[in-house]
Amino acid sequence: MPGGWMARIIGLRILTAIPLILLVSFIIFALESLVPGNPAETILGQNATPQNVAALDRQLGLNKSLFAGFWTWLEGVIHGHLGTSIISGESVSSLLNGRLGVTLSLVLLSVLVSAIIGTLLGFISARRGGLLGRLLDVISLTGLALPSFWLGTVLVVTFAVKLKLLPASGYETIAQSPSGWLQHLILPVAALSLAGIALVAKQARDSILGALEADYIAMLRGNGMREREIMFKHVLRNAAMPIVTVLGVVAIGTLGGTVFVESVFVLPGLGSQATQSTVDHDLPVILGIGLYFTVIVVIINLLVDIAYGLLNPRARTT
Amino acid sequence: MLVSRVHASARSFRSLRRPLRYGALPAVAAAAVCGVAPGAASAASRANSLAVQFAGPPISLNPALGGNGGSSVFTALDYDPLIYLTSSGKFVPDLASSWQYVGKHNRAFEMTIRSGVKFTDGSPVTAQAVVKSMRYFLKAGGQLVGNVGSISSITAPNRHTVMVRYKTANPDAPGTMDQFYGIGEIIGPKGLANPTSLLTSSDGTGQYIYDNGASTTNSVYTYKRNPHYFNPSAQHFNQVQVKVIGDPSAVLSAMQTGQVQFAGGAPNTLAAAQSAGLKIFKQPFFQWELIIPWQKNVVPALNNPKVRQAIGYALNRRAIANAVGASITSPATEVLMPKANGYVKGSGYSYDLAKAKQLMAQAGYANGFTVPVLTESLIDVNSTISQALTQSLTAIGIKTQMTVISTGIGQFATAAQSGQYGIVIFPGAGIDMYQVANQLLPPGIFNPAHLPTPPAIAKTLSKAYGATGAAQTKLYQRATRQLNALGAWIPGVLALSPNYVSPKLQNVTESFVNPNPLPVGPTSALSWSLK
Repeated sequence: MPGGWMARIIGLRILTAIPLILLVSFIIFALESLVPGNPAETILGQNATPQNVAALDRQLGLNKSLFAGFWTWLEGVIHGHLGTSIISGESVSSLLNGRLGVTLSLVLLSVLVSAIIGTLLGFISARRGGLLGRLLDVISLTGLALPSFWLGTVLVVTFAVKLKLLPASGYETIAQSPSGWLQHLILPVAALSLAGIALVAKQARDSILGALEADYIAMLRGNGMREREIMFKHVLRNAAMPIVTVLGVVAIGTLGGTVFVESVFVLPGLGSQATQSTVDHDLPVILGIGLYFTVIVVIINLLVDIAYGLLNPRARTT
Repeated sequence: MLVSRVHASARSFRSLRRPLRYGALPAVAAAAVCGVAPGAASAASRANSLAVQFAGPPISLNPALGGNGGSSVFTALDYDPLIYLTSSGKFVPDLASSWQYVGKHNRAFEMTIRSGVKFTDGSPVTAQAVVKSMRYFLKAGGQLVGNVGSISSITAPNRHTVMVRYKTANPDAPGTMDQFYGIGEIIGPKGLANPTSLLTSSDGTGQYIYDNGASTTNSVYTYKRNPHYFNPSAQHFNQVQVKVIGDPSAVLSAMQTGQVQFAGGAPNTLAAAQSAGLKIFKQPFFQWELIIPWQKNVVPALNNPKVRQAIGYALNRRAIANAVGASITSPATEVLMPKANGYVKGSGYSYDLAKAKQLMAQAGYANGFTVPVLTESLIDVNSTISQALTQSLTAIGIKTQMTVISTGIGQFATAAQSGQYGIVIFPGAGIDMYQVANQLLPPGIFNPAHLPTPPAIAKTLSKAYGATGAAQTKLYQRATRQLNALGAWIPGVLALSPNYVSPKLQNVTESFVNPNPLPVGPTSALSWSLK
């Protein structure tokens, strides 16, 4: 059946996602219980005495054992309720859904920028070689070495404060203003993409060079096929699989990077919420973010698998 | 008692401060009703939007559960207080048109409620409605409930009068009804019927109404103009946004690019803010103290008053202030700040190493000892101040083993009271003896061993709280001397809090009494506007 392989991959990924989500959630739950402090102490602040903390613990249901507490949360998830923020009293799902768009915008744009610019640079480097290739290596290493939060700060000072070209911080939804949405994302995406561009460029260069050295390419040339046709029909297609693999890694890395970049650019996404909720020990929200992040990672892996299948029919059966 | 929840350093720096000093408050403070301009500010004359920064999200949008200090902005925009504390430190009418103490000894406080004002839910503001809101505050269990005095009853003798009675004298009653204390921010009947609704909507009488749909939790809090506000001439904006920005560099960038017009500053961005042409206000904010249980101390040597006093004399405060940042800190020598009512010049501790060594020798500890010290890195970022303070103690042979709590003030509070530490380092605040004593003496961070107040100090304070004017100041000064001599709270340095203000923003002022300016006030002149 045409497309049957895709349904099989999706089904397989969903099946493996369930234990993965359970495991990740339990690890978050267990780790959070090991972190000193708890929400009751956070809420009580300076008023926190052992007695007050114990009383509020009971009121919030935080005095349950690790497994009992996790089971209570899991029951809620099974029934479609991610719980309520201990700090703000808001529904976790509505809190996170309002932020999901920001993080997805960041990740998708960053991956897109990494893919386009990285592949282009890799292609040029592979074709031209020599000095450009070595320069690309240097740029790649630099891009990987620069932390995104530092780069973000430099970009803000340069493009927002000094040149006044772009906003320094904040966010507008695409519904509010498509141009505003883009303007607010240019600098954060630039900060997040640099490492991705470097990784993709290096991988693209190596893959293209590897493909160019294959025997069948020499044969195609010998048969008189035009260089452009060889490049786009054969070389790039064969080089694409490792690039897709790297893009999957870049997407997951970018998701982690949002935690820092959202703070620097004051973006109301899942990353900045994760930071705040961790400080607050707001466990329902932390678990919700863990769940969202895990699902996003599963989807990224699924897309990579599908891309493999589209690029290489042999991969559909493995 | 000073209370507030703290999440992050900058935020905590803003939210912990109790900004009040009433000075010589007259027993009777009747005041004229605020002038209401007959013609409301026209839409054309009203600026579209104001954006201010705060370092963390609100503790709660319910004023009964919210925080104080700078974090009051989240509730002050949509809830009017009974009495308004101006930035210059004066009390002016808001929902209460006048107020006075009734009888002697500051134990009964009466307020007359402004007429013709309506809540967002459409119901009128009456004395009965005010009483219900205040009673709800007392039951709600918020962090500020311990700050409003020992209230025995709140009643409404008639439609326009609210009477508050106290179990013990409260000389600061007017201050507890202002925009920083929660109990004075009055909630309407609909909100009281469903307090959870106050997290996503507002039911006050303030200039603005919380707009949940246009807000993003923990990021941007949007307030739209209240069309039924009792004094439209004071409303200078159609919308006010509070943006949560914690990172000091991001705060500065937001100010420089005009994304916010007011923000809390930080020592590491002060110079850049100055060179960027921002207006900078600085007021005393926190007084860093070494808190030493004077009995039952885990280090027996610290039960000796001579040892505690030796510590007071051993701190080289000028050097510490220079090390931390001379533009933002100054030496502190007494339990009260210099401008506070009750301050006695020269009664505290100045740097005198020879005297410190002599006191140590007299106490039998010439060779010093080792002390476990507790501090935190949420307010004292990188525990810089704590390290500087403890470093001075090595000069008299005291070695310190420092534990730094970085996970939350609540956890710090619990650890402080665990009995494991000989010295706890934490900043105090307060602008008169009533506030400071109510912070230092009750069980908690400042009295971690939960010791009873020494009888002589309790007696002086009891008299002072029932007194007024010069007599009260004199008793406060006596209490200052007694507290300094006890040596349980050794002051180190006084930290100034910087605020950055856009040159375009008008009517922003602050003072020692009120270092937390807020965008709204009951008159046009007390409300911020843009040029």
